[in-house]
Amino acid sequence: MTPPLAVALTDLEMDALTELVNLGVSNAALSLREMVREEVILSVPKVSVLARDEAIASIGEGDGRRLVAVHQHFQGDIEGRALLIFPEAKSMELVRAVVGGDLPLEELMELEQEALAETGNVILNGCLGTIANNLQHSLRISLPEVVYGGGSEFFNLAPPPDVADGVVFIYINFLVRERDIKGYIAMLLDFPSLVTLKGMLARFIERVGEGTVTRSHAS
Amino acid sequence: MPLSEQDREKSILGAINGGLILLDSNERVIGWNIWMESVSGLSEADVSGKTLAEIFPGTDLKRLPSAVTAALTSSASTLITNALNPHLLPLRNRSHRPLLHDIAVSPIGNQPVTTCMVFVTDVTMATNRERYLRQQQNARYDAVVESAPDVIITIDHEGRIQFANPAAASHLGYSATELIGREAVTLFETKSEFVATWQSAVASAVSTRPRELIAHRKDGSRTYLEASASQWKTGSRFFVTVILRDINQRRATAAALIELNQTLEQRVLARTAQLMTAEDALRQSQKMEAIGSLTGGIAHDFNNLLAVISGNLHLLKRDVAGNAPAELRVKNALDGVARSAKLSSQLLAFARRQPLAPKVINLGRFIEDMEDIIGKAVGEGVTVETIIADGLWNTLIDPGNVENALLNLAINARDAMEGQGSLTIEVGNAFLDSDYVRTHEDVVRGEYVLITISDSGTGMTPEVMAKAFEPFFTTKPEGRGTGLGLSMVYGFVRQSGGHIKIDSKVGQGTTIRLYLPRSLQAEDLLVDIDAMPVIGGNEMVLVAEDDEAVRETVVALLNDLGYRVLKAKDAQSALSIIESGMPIDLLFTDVVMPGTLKSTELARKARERIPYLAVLFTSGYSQDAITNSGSLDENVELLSKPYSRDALARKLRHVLANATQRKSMQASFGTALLTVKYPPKKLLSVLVCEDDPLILYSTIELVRLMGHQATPAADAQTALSILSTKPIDILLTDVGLPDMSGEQLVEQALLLNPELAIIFASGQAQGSGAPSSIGAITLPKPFTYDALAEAVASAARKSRRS
Amino acid sequence: MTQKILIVDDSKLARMAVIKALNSLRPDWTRLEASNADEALALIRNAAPDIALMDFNMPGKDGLTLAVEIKQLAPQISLAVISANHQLEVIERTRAAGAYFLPKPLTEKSLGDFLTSVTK
Repeated sequence: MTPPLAVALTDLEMDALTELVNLGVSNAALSLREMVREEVILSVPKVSVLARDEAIASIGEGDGRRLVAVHQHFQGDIEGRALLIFPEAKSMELVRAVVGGDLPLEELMELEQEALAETGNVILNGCLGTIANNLQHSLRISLPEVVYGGGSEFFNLAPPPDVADGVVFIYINFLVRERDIKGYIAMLLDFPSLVTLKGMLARFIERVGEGTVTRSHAS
Repeated sequence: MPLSEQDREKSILGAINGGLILLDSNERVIGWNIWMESVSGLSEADVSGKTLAEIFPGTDLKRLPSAVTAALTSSASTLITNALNPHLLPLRNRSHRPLLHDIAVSPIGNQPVTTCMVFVTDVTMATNRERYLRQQQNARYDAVVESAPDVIITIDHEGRIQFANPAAASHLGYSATELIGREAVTLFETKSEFVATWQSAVASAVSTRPRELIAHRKDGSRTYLEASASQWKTGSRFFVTVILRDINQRRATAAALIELNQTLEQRVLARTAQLMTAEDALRQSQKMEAIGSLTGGIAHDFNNLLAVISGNLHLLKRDVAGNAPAELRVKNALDGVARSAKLSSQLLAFARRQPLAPKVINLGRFIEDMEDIIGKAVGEGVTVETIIADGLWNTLIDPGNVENALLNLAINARDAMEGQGSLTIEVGNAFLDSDYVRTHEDVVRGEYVLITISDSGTGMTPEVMAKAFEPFFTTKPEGRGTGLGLSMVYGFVRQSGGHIKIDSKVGQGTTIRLYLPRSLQAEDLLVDIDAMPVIGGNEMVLVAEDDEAVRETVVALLNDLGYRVLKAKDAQSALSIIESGMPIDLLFTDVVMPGTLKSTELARKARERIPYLAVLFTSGYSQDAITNSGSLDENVELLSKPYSRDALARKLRHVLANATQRKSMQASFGTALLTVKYPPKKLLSVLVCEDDPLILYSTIELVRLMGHQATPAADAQTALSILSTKPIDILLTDVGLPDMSGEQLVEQALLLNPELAIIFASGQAQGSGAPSSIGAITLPKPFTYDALAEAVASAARKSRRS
Repeated sequence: MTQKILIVDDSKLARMAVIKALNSLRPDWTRLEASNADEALALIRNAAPDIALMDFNMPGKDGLTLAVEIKQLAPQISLAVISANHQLEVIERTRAAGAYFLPKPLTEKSLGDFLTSVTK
């Protein structure tokens, strides 16, 4: 039985988080476009905040699918890890999409590590950086690292796990050069960071909606 | 003494094996270590206070400037790899070669960040080593795969195509991009078979046995492919490579052959019907010609069927030996067959179906040349005398058939004398007058060259004399004569417009007179237009033949041609000789021999011991009869009895050359795959005409490996129909084809397309005049890949000029 | 002259941000809000707005498709698509549909410029 998430966000806070993620991912798409030199469509069908076990289940490790992730560690007002996760089988497609389809299979496989690392780096930086800026807090983001495995491995990277940890779980769709690749961004936060995040979101809402709550004609 | 902080910093920066650039909040350089100095050629003093764009003007720094900004404003770290961003900065190593580098950009300190670090790492060695290894491993593989005519695809563990070679794209009608990423199973109609192929490759490290699959091209059309698959691993991934060979042609050919066999009877019926409708047309013009050709067709088909019946009856006779009623029935059946055969041979003779190549020759010289052969054929017990008259007239006759007839008659004479006696051969001029003509059938008054052959043998009774020329009639004991010899002599003489007469008395001997029409023309030089000069050889030949007379003749002929000969009287003893380890090059065997081991079995076992053994079968039956009765494979070489010395010599060289060709093709295939030296500048369309299927298909493969288009044809008619429907640049043909000679094919081909370039592939020695006179290129068999490529290249140059 | 302006965005927060900007730029205009394309179309038929602002990234019908439909349904309405996706291709597609492009996060200035252009 999964323990309930210790920190719950209100609807508006989720809304705000979703908006921020959208902004971040669009920013990432822009940077990615510079790298790929063709239109990149990054969309976010869904954002959730889940307990760790729920997140592992959402990735669906149960059917034995192997995954690849680009992993970056962030520190500052909030601390945790960000992971960009794809099914391993899709990673070659991602590499082709980013690098272009003309190279032979072996060269592509040589490039794979670097392509994944750079692509993941761009997406995660774009996302995290935008969120951080809008929430007006600073984060130090590490260099990317490529890891293979399954959900439980990714989500159990050091520091040691704590059941109260939460995961901001983001489904993303990556469409470039007619290749459609679905993956996830997961931001793992410990309990104090979740609380801090909630506070930051509340302040963000105040800033944005300043003076509007009473005057809008909500439909 | 401990270092001061500054000094320690300096020594650390100096010792780091990487480039360290420090930038302030305005993105200007405040630190530049010694490593950076040595790879950029710029000292710290040169770059202090400048931005990267100012330090490297004109260089596209790609993501580097925004990475620096991100580090300063958002504290984000960025990785820029050499793999995706080659030659970002103009850096060189100590050997002044480009230095391949990764760059990591990170903030230093917390927000507000005042310093950004740009760290440069040298990845040249690792990258180059990987590239070198990959090139080494894959160069040969790539060359084969790129140019292979077979469809080659690589699928990942999910069954998606990760790689497809050019043949895959062109054969299936998709572009490579359309194939990559697609689930391979979607290409196939026989999905479960494909999955089985894939899965068995996954399960086992050994490549799977080939499976037949049906795939769909982009346009929906079906294609038959033979698939074999094997797996390979790299790192943690494994892939399966599937090779798909186009077997559409093979299937079509096999299907056609089956249909052909099944419809033989129907075709006879159809032709009969044709004959009847043709009668109307015949009344208008050249009736005799029309009847002749149609009846010839019927007689030919009848012969096939008769030979099957007859052959089987002969075998049956042996099976029922001892069972008198059965034997009688078989005998009656054989009699019936014999009578039908006579009718059919008369029809054939009437239709003039036996190909003759008549020449004007002087028989005197001719027979003098034959003395040796005849002497060997009859053996030492028989004295041979030849008498040639002076002033001998010329005659227009097929020399091969004369030779043959004389040998046959000589051997008959020898048998009649039981190996001891005298044989006289006379040649002189003769005139048959009206009186003679009146009293004899089927003879025309006029001048003739007369050959008289007399022996001192047992002679014939009048009854025997009457039947002497009937096909299958023989007085010889079982297994010692087919009974075809005299009837063929008869047929040949008649065809040549001559007359044959036997005179014999029991106990005194036999005289046979051959009257051949005089020719007033000058003598032709005895060189066939389409025959190469007869070349012998010194290979070792094993002769398996149960008929003693025939065996002795063959051995004599072979020795005369220079071959080393071993002999065996049946298949079993022939096999013993082979198993004893003798280095035999060619097995020459009669098809029908007594004993438990059949000649076909003998050939198969012999080839097990000597893989590239040349095999030549001989038989009194025609080729069609043999293959349709199922006793022989369609693609064995057969020399029909009776044969001339020339024909034997040519056939031997042909078969020996083909065997050597096959051997060298296996080897040359290997080299061809590794050394594709002739990427074509212009794609050519080559038509290959060759009746030996293995050589035909191997040649097609080699031509395709060169990058050209290759179309097969197993005989001249097929080649001509292809030439009239498809654009062809080069015709590569064997000299000897089943339905016409290579030269004749070329003649007709040039009528269809005067610009056609010609290559002759020949197993016989060079020296024929005709091919070179039309500007053709000769490619002697056995040929290697290089020789073939050379020939194609010269033909291409010729065709470009025209 | 007061105008009716329709704001379409699935995010309440984003709508709040637009309204906040409107409060300083055009405080007297009537505001209508919709959280998806269907609601937006209903409002267009019933309430006849003069200007419509829509978010590009919405579940179901996206803002651009909606813009094209509105152009056919009520061509007199001035349209703007707001999006965080600033790639050239998106901007071009928006312009091709006959709508303005406003980048997210929305600034008062860009909104102000747009409103001024369409009310001339």
